[in-house]
Amino acid sequence: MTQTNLADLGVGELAPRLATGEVSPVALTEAVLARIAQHNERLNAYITVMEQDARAAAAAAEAGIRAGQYLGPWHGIPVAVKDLFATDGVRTTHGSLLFADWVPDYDASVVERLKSAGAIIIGKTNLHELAYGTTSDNAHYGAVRNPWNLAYHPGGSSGGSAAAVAGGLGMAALGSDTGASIRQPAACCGVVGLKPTYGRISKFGALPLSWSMDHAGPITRSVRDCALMLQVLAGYDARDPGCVDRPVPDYVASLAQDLRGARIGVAREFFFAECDTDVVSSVEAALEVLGELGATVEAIKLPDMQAAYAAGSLMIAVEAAAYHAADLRERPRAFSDELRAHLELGSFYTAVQYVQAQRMRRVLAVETQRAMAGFDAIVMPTVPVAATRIGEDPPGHVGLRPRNTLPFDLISLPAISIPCGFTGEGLPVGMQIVGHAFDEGGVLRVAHAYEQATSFHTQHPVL
Amino acid sequence: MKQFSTAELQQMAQALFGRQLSEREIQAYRGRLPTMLRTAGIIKGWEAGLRDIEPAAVHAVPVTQPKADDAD
Repeated sequence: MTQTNLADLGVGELAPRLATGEVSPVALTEAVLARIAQHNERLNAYITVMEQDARAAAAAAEAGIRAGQYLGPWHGIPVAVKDLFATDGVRTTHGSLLFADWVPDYDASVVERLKSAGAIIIGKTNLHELAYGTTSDNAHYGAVRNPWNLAYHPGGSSGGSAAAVAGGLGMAALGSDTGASIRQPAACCGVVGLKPTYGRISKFGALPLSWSMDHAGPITRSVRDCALMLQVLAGYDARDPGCVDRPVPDYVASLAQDLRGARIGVAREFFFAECDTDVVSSVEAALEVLGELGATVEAIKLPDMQAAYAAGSLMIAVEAAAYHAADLRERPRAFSDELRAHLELGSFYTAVQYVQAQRMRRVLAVETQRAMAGFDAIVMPTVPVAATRIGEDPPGHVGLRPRNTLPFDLISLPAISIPCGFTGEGLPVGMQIVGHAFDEGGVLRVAHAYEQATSFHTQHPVL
Repeated sequence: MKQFSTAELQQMAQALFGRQLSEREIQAYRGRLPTMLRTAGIIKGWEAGLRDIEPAAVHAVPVTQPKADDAD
């Protein structure tokens, strides 16, 4: 098998071959490093490529597997890590000048878990500065480019992670999501991105943007790979005060269930209202597929999602302003003009407004769960608008990009984005599937059934 | 979204955030200020209906069990 072939395979396909020795972790790592060497200069998906560490880890994985100590499906798989997560001994910039030279002496919890599972950390991916933005056009480390069209942004803030996975510069990646940052870039790059329930995955070692809205999660090429990665990442960690101690189910097993008898809600009122026509037609076609697979697709009436968006964006703005307050005062020039203005604005909201938003959060979470009773999932476009050209920011797009995703960070429900079509310009469109709290398995079940019935996930950009 | 004049934005910022913004500040923040003002307006619109509602608890306060000899 050639290096190019290897880098194109999914984790689910590679794992059994690695386990039997048919594929070597060293060869696989070299294949991915070769693709990075070939394409990263144009894509700018990575801030730091960890050639030496990756090669050493690959050699160790190969020796371990040969010695009969196979650790499971991530053993020997090269994985990219958003440069928001601390990596022991490796520079972690957070996409900011503030941390340009910071070398942590510990791993983020999610990195630890991947390493323990035998994964090979191949590099640190570029992101929107301090994870506060949705284009990954980073003033300090350059703009990440969308592998489907290099003139376009890949979404953000985990744009480097999504671009790396889509372009075959990593088999899977870690992302973080506060309002959109896993799902929106996944949609823009035609890959799978999952934001879990708040507390399902530890955030220890991730730079906070907004403590109460931040989530860590996987970005992968298929739903099966996503389930495999969630299996490793999920679980209690006392170092994250928001982490919840409850059993982790078998996510891969949930993929085996078909959609017969499933009830899927569609809330067109808010989530389809400001979408591009290409986006709506792709998601409407996907809903038909879900119906053909045996699901009942019907309208659902949700509480005021505009209010959820408002409360959520306020929470992010205020908490981000609080986290960066000292640096804004003492090192204002370390921030880009755009981000500095953005953070300063967060301090405009009053303390009373912040508390009112937190009270709204309780109402909206309870009412949404009540409305979803009897439904297995709700479905909508991940992003109302497709990616736009780098440097262009059409009026309203700043608010539209996280419009359909941010409410589920606020009310803490698991949500996945999967590819469901392309725009007229050949850019991917994503469909978001939202489930009940801690029912990531239910979300993966719907996503996998749809994926198996369609071929969007098998299409890759030509770099 | 409606295009607000500088004077309108100044007036709304005063009413919703209690801040007097200069013309220069309005220019610097013009990109995001209208959305923020709209957000603050939505929050205000909800206030009357929140009378009996406690804030969502996202993080619990870290408390430790007092030792037996700490008790009165």
